[in-house]
Amino acid sequence: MAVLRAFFYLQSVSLLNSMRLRLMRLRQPKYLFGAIAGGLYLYVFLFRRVIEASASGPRGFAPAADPATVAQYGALAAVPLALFVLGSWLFPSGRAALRFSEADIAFLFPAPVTRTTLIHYALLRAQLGIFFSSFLMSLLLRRGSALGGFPLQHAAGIWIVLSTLNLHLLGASFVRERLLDFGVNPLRRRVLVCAALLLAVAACAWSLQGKLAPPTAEDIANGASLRRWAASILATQPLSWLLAPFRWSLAPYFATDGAGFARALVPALALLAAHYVWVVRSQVSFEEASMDLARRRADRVAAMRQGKGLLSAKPARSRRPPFQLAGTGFVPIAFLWKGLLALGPFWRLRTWLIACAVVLVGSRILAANPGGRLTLRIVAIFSITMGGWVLVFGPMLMQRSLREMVENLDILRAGPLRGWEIALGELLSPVVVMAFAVWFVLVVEACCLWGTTPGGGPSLDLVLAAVLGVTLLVPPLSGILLSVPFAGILFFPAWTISPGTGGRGFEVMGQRLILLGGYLVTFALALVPAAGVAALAYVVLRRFPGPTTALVVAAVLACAVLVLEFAAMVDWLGRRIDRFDVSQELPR
Amino acid sequence: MIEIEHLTKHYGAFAAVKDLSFVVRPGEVMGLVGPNGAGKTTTLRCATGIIPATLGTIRLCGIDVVDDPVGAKRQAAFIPDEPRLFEYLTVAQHLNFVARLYGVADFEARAQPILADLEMTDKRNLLPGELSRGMKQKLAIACGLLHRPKVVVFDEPMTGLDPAGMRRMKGVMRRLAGEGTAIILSSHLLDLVEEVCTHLLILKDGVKIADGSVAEVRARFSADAGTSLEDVFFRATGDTEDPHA
Repeated sequence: MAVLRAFFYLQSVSLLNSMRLRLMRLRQPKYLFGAIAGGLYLYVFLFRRVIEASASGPRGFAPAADPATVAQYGALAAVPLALFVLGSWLFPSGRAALRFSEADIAFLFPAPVTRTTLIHYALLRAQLGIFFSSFLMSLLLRRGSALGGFPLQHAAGIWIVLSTLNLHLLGASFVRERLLDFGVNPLRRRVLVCAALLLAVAACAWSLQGKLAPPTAEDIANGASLRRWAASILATQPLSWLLAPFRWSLAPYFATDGAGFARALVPALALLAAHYVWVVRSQVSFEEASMDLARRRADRVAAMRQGKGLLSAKPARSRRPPFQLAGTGFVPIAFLWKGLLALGPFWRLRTWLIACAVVLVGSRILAANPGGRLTLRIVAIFSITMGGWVLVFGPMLMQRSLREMVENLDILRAGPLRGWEIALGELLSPVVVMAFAVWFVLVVEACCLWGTTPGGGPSLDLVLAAVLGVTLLVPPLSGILLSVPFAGILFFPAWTISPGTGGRGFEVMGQRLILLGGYLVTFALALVPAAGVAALAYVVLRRFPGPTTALVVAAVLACAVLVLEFAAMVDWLGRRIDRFDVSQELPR
Repeated sequence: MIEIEHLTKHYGAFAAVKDLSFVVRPGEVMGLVGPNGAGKTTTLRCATGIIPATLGTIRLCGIDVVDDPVGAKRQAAFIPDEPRLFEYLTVAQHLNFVARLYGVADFEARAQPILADLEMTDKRNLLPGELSRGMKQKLAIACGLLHRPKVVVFDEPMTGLDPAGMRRMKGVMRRLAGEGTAIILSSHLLDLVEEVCTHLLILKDGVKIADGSVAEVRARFSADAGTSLEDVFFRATGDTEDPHA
């Protein structure tokens, strides 16, 4: 009991302190503006709908949706839930572990408490997350307004499902641990589970034999008919018996009125209670695996706070350099060499050429038949969308390496480097990666459109001129676009580099929204001079010597303007790096 | 040679270092000591041009850090307390990268004896993640020494090193000093400072308390030559050395 009191004390004090700290940091403009932007975003996209729905709709119970339809949805929802639970018996191979923080382990594991108390502590800890998730999901699902019923009952329904699921996953992990103790390794366990599953499938298939007709074409075309057909299969025995626990757990969420909710609550809570007893009475060793899990989670959190995502795991072995780096020469090339080495062996010219060859051959095969040509036209639309997305939002995703550079700027500053050399060097590898990514999209686009455009489409020389123009524009444009977030990091380091635990909260989300807005505005402004020069050149030269030449000249001139802009930005960033005082400007 | 005249560094209204002047000549090892918050790291960072000084002049081998930062830094190496390495570059690739930064054409020939000296020849192809703390520190030193600097600044170089690593580090410092390198060593380990340094600079609250050869500083704050550097330090800084006091 003392541990549970300690838990409530810890959580309440932590929550209060965290709120106090967040309120206090609103005195800093970056958090205040971030809070305003984040609050506005949450209001517009989440809370406004809820408030408007509450103001305009009937209070309390919403008009009941068709109970039969909702019941069918409930029966169908039991299937993915059952598959998820089945997965918890089939796939995991690790030891049983409870979720504790490293501090929990440091204080609780040596403390004079029983294993059952530790389980209770972990369950309570999990409940905090489940309560929050239930609330958020209830809001996102518009509090179940499509199903009718009282909003709170939907939140309670979600809570019951998540809590039961949490207990089941824990109980399953305890059983797996016990099976391991009995010498049943994960492979044998999987064989046993698969055998049981096959038996159940065979029993269901045998019972359905000759009773149900396959869905008609009309059923497949009509969503409601298909739903009714699937629900009728799920209602047959023994399938309905097998799915019954999952239906019980989901029933409160799918109840359409108060009485239905009260009736559904009894079996759902009984199931929850049974799971609780199962978990609490399990006496398996989870301590070592829990400590390991806590350490891994702490490492992951630390990595994410440093701006390293889940995909940026540490390399396991050394990598071959992308090219031979001489001891002397243009210094920014060393940064490119380092950046490409960091990206790994996949990011090489060889890979790009192979991918282009595959696209070329594949597109020619598809272009040989009408169905394939339709596929190519769909791929063309998809690839041009992807290309635009990569060009506009790619730089925002490549900020990590730039942020790391600023954090280690004191080391670079100790070297005999000019600011512009550091700036250009750090920009080179993301520019190269982005340019080749967009060029690849162009190759895909050209291959997809080659010979597949109905009515002949534009002439080949015009297409080639357009491709050449875009190819020329991509590298300097990528450089400018990458310079914008880099400038954000260098000029507003406190906004882009979060010290310690500063990376959470809706105010931080608001900061990111503000930065994104600034990035998009700068992006648009940077394009204006180049677009103006290109448009002028095209208008003047369109009639003589002709549109193809006009397009190429316009692209070359726009490219020249963009190169000048990029050079000016590198010089500007370099001067900023030269003046950057790492002792004062980096957040601590 | 390191020449610092009237160095002042402000953080907003707070003065971390106030009007500090000193000289470290070739072959000298100057121990920079002081309590936490004395301004040691700020001094080292200003001295190597990593952060700008608010006031004052800093010259490395006669080259002004403000007028010609690139030329000045080419003469120097800064070995930080915590080795910060690129997790995806091997030991050899780190040296290759640093060679390009400093323009060392014959880096392979130069790297070989440095790695051998630091007993890292067989670690050439390992990543930082595969190295121990001491090995990482040695790699940071190897990177710092590759361009044969005439000025080396060590910031708490013994952090995390085992006894063998400490002995090796002391050997490196003595050898460099013997070759005519001007060295600044910042450390809280007064025994190390006493053992390695020829000169001493005591800082407190950003102000120079004492400066000179170890013998001169010792003579200023103690009656006899047998007094330990620890006693000298506490007398100079005015802090109490008795934990029970």
